[in-house]
Amino acid sequence: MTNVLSDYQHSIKLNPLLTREQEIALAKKIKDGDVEAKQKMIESNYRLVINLAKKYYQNNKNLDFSELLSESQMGLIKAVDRFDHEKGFKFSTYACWWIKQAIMAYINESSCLIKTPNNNKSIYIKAKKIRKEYLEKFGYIPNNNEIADILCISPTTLNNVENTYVQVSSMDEQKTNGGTSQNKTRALAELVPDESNTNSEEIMIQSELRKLLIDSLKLLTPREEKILRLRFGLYTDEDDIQNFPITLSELIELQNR
Amino acid sequence: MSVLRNNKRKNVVVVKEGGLSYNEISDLMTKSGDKMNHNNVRAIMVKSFMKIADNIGRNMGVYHDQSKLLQIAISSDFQESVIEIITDELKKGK
Repeated sequence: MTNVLSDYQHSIKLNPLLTREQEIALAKKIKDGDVEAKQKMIESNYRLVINLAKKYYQNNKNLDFSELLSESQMGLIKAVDRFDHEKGFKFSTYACWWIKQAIMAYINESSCLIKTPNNNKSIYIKAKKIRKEYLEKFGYIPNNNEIADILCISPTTLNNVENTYVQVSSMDEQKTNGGTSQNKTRALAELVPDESNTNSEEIMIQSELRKLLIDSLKLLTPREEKILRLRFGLYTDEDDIQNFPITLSELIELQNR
Repeated sequence: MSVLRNNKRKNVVVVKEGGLSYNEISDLMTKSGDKMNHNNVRAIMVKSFMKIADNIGRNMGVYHDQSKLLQIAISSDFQESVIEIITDELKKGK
């Protein structure tokens, strides 16, 4: 981060903040097509770019700071092109929104693997904010219909937007495994267990146990077997008097007792 | 006739539908010529489970004493798993 900033700091030193009069003069020159004036205006506002980029970087540490800076700079250039001094605003007031817009577009693009329209992201953020505010103020979370009413959009749109922002991970994404330093990162695909393929050793042990149990049942005397069958209602045939000395009619009779 | 119980207590085997109580079994066995009371029925049942537990243990190289075998035999988990496997086998045989 410091390396990236040092380049900017050099031009910041060379270009002190502009006064209101200087800003207007430069804006007029830019309107006439003066490239040098445009360059001067851009370089004089690097402070704003760095400040805003830093602010957004705090909440999105996974992003590349130099990329964030370049995107912010693109926003600044757009602001310089479109600035109209006749409206009476300071340049920084106007540029601030363009820079923020550029940063938000970049964050939206890089935070999710699926590219979504920028306004969807803003709806998602607003809905999240409303939920948080309601929870703090009234102690409950409003449902999607209520939020859609507040945002003046249809509940279907809100549902669609929220379904878009599910957490998506790439199977090739490197994850730390907490092992030795050599074996620290592994692709996510390597860490996900395949549940469809059960452990063959487990299956073998289970079938072995099953066999053992069936063999053990042969040790029971006919009397013991009869009692077990009667106790747990184990029978293959209703009229199998030999193994299950009770017919269906007797069973009904017992139930009616 | 024993009925399905809402088993909230631990260590109690839920007798499935179609199973009989100790008293009902003793009545039936007495009628068929083998005189016994409900206590005998329970003792025979526990003995059967002890036999099964002992045989499984021996085949796996584990030798339990009588008190340990009794503990295994009366445990609901053991009884339920044995019955589940027998039921499965009977279904397969059908």
